[in-house]
Amino acid sequence: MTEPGPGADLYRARLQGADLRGKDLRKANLALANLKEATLADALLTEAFLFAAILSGADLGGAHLAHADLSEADLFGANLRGVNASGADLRRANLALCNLRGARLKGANLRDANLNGADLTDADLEGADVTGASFGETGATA
Amino acid sequence: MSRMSEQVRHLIGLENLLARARRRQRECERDEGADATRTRRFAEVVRRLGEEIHATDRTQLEDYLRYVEGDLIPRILHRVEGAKEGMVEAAKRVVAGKGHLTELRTEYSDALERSRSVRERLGLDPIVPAEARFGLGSHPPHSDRPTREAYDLVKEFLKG
Repeated sequence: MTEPGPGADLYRARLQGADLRGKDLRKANLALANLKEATLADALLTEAFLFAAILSGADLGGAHLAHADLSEADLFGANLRGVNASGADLRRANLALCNLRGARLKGANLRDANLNGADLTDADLEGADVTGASFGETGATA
Repeated sequence: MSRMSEQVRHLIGLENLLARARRRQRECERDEGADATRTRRFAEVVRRLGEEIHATDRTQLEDYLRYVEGDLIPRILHRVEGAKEGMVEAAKRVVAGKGHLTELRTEYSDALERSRSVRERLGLDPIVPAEARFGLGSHPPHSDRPTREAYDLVKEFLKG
C-alpha cells in the first residue's frame, strides 16, 4: 500500500477512523477501501476512484469530490456538508441519513442511489440524474 | 459453529464485489466509450478481485460441499427438479478452485426456470420457489420451515 497522496494506490486499504483531513488525494485509487468513520474533511478527492468504498459515518465536510467515482460506495450517515461533488458518479451509492446540506451535486450521477433520510437542504442538484433514486422514509422513487 | 463458514462468507463477499465491478466495467464500456481511463480502472479492480478469489484458501470448502449436497439441497430445493445435479457439480467446481459460488445461484435459477416450463406444459401446479417459501411470498401449507442458516445461505444465492 502506498502513502496517501495524489494518485496513490490505496485499493482495499484499511483506513477505518484515519485522519486524512485536508489531504491531497486527487485521482487516488481508493476502490473498496474501508474508510469507515474516517476524517476526510476538506480533503482533495477530485477525480478519485472510490468505487464500493466504505465511508459510513465518515466526515467529508467541505471535501472536493468533483468528478470522483463513488459508485456503489457506502456513505451511510456520512457528513457531506458543503462538499463539491459536481459531476461525481454516485450511482447505486448508499447516501441514507447523510448530511448533504449545501452540497454541490451539479451534474452528478445519482441513479438508483439511496437518499432515504438524507438532508439535502440548500444542495445544488442542477442537472443531476436522480433516476431511480429513493428519497424520504417512505422509499419514494424519482 | 455456523454451517456457512467464514471462508464461504468471505468468498461470497468477494464474488459479489466482482459481479458489481464487472457491471460497472460494462457500464463504462457502453456509456463512457471515450473515457478509457475509467474503464481501465474497473478492469483493474476485476483483475485484482479475480486474483484474490483464486488465491483464497479453500480447505474448509469440503465441509461446504457436504453441506450443499447433504443438507441444503434436500432441505430446500427438493421440489425444484434438476437443481441438485447442477448445484452439486457447481459446488465441486468451487472446491476445485475452478468455479464461483455464484454459479450455484445460476444453477438454481436455471433449474427453477426449467421446472416452471415443464410444469406449465404438463398442466401441473406451479412450483413454489424457495424465496416464496421463506416469507418473501406466501407460505404453502406443506412448507417445511428451513433453519435460519439455510435461509441466509439461499438469500445470499438469490441476491443479484
